[in-house]
Amino acid sequence: MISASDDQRSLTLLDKLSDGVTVRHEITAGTDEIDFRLTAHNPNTDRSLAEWAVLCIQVDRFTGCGPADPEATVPEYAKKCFVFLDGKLTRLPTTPWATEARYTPGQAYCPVHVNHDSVDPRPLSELVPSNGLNGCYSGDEKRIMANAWQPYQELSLGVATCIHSDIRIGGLEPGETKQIRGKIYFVGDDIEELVQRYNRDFPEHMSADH
Amino acid sequence: MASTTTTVTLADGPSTDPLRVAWNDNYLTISGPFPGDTLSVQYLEAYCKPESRVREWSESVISHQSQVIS
Repeated sequence: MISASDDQRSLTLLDKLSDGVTVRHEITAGTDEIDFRLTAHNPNTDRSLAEWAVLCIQVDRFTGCGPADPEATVPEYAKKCFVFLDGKLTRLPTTPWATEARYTPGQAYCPVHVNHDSVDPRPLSELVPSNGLNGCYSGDEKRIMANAWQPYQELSLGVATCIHSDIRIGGLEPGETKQIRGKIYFVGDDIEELVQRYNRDFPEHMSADH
Repeated sequence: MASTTTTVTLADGPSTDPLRVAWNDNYLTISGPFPGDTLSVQYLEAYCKPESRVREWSESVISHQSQVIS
């Protein structure tokens, strides 16, 4: 296991994509959050097609549900997870629950600012998330783990007992550099407080067409 | 007179123990005083091209390599 700082409070990663793009990740641990600062750069003379990036947060231990049955349409841990619909926290499974896609099971939620063809190829909900915040409750319902990025591409549920709030890159023009940031929160069950904090951290998400 | 230090812990209060991060083999491990004690994040799982719903996943992915630099 690699931790770059002796106190395990921070590390820096460098990703090199096969098309030449580089992405530097500054990751810092706080008392109750992990802060991510990414710098994506295209040094080439051709446009990069890097549209979005996936991080897979595996919540079996946090939710206390154990590894999910990969064939279950609605795995037990999904009932611990939430997205925001019409501005309100909504526990999964949402209604309706999409079941058909190139890859199943799972569920993807596409925000208004993203092309529906460019999200996770799992069943796509017809419901549109209000914002980029998703997360899950702990087994005893007293704690919440939540995740958000700016910009974000989609919210989804996979098959590795996982939840995603995935990163939007949006392609990179020759020589272009983009800044991206994210948070993983570990907080109590006060949703109003969590939303206020999220709104402070991601004020861009408060507009209707973010 | 010798001084005495007493630590008071509030059992139900928020912990001030810091979170910790480590990375290995494409997994970020977050450790701390939360349920389960550790959270594994495949970081990053993949970089993807547009139109990822209309082609095979293997054709959507732009391969990458990661390394810790500091």
